[in-house]
Amino acid sequence: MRVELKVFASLAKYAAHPLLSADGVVELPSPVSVGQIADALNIPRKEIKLIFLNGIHAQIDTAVKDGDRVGFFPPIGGG
Amino acid sequence: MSRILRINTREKRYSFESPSPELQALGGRALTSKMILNEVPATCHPLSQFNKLIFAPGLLSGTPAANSGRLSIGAKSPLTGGIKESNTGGLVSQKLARLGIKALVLEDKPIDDAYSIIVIKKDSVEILPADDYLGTTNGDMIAKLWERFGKRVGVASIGPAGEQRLTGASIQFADPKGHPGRAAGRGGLGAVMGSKKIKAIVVDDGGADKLTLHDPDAFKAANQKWADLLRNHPVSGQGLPAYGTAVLVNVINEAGALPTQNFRSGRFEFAGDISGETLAANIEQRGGIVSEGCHPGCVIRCSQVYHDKDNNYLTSGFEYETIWAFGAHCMIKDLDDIARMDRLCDDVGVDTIETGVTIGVAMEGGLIPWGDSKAAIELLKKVGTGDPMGKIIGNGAAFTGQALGVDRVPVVKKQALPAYDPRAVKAVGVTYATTPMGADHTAGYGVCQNILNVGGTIDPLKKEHNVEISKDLQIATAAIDAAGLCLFVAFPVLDHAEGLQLIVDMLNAQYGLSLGASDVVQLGISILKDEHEFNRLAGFTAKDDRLPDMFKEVFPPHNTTWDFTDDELMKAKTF
Ligand code: SF4
Repeated sequence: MRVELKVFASLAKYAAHPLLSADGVVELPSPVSVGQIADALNIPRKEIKLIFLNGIHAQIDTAVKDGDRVGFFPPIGGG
Repeated sequence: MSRILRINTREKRYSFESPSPELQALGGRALTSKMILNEVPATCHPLSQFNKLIFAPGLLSGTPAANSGRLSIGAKSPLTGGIKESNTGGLVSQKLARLGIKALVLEDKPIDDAYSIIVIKKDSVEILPADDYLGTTNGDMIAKLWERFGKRVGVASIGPAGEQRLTGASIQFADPKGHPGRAAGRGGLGAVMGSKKIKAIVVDDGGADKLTLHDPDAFKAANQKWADLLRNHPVSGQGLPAYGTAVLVNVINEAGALPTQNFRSGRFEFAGDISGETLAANIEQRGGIVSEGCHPGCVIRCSQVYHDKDNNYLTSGFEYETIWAFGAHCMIKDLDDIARMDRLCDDVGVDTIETGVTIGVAMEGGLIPWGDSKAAIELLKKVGTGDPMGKIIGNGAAFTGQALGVDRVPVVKKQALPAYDPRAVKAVGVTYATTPMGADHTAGYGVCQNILNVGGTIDPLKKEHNVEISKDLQIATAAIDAAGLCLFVAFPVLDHAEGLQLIVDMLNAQYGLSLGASDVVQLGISILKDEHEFNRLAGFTAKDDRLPDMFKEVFPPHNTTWDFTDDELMKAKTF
């Protein structure tokens, strides 16, 4: 299945992984969880603070389906 | 003991007085709001001789406490018609505090058109003619005043917009490098300064002694822990210094809450182009400064210096709210053009949030096309020239919307909404509606719990708990503003219980008090009560706490609407 994945701020360095296409798509066998996507791309789970699944907060064990949009962020803030 | 300096701008006279017992324990926003309530008739015209403009350093300002150099400026707002506290960095706060000045109060107004500058030094206060400076931009004004009075003096000045008393006018402050990148932007306080014909205030603390602390050892110990807390929290210690506040562009976009094309949707196709990551990469590549403080003693350093492609200085203090207002809100994706507009605003002296939102309203009204950054720059250049269209834009979103026959005007109490859609970040929506300031994200930054998972997690799309969280944050923020601390200390303080105690410890060590954490909460509540009381006397009612009708529209991608009733909102104001 295809998942749109975006990695931001200090996690952007992990986007260079061969599994992740230039336009931010990763193909993985289903079923898969958010955490398993991170593992597949060698993104350390402890560096991920915020997970968005289709724009909604998700947990590391939340299941992901084909066509979903996932975003990973480290701890950030501003205002 | 520190004193209150009053300047009568009509008679060009000044006097020092000891604060009354009621004012003695107050600082920053607590002091400005109390004095405005006590001394300014709530029904007065904000540009009349009855209004006062009050500059008050926070309680910890002038001490070595990390991030304590913030200044509160209070008045009746010409934009909202209600009370205003606008908060800024720069050099003035710490210098006023070291000179033993608890508040500087500008009173009355001249009957002629002659402008003055005020120069405050250790042993003198001068009110000097300023007609030679008329029409000068804030950038040039700081350069001229530094040349005349010495590098690194504190400067607060107004640009042409303030001279014209436009309701979007800001007061700009020199940052440590002499750029006009810090602003008391919100609420049109530059127009109040213009009405009193004060072009600039210079504060020089040369020769002043260090502040005496009641218990220096206890202060030092608490401050060390305080600075460590700020440095070790990942948001204040890593995220903000690396990317500035613009790090929010991507996360707010990802959350579906980045207001795009005048609050039509929560995702901007070109968010990446205007993100903090792009901003930081441009600075790395071109030169400039990725991270600097807006005042000495800031250990977070979210500010930056941004250069164009040819490595020429473009702007400083280039913030998320500004980037959003001229960016996603106007469908503009050229970060350099957005930086040019930030600089134009700082120079002419208008609030970047108000003005960026106004440009979007002008696009909504068909004056210029969506996304056309060149047309936006040309329109902005008219502000402060005396051109009638420039006057309309400089008066802000509500005024411009009316001038152009627009019905989608995103304001509360006539002040433009900032960069989080209230339908997708409901805690901040409650703040926009209920803070006495008019739409203001800083007054109760519910983005923390709604989006950033700081200080807990609360669903941003539902109503549950969002009134309570906004109320609690409004109380805490008022207290932080009274202490003179930068609001970004809230990230570690919300996550770590000892943070609040350290603030209390520093206050106690400075003043010889024995406050507890609950006293700080009470201080926050009393500030809000004063402010709500002023607005009530000025004629505000529940109808002024509503968001405009446009927020009943369904907001993609989450397809939520603004659905709070008057009664629900009232709970955020009931203490
Ligand atoms: S964190 Fe930013 S806004 Fe706060 S004091 Fe430092 S530079 Fe100023």
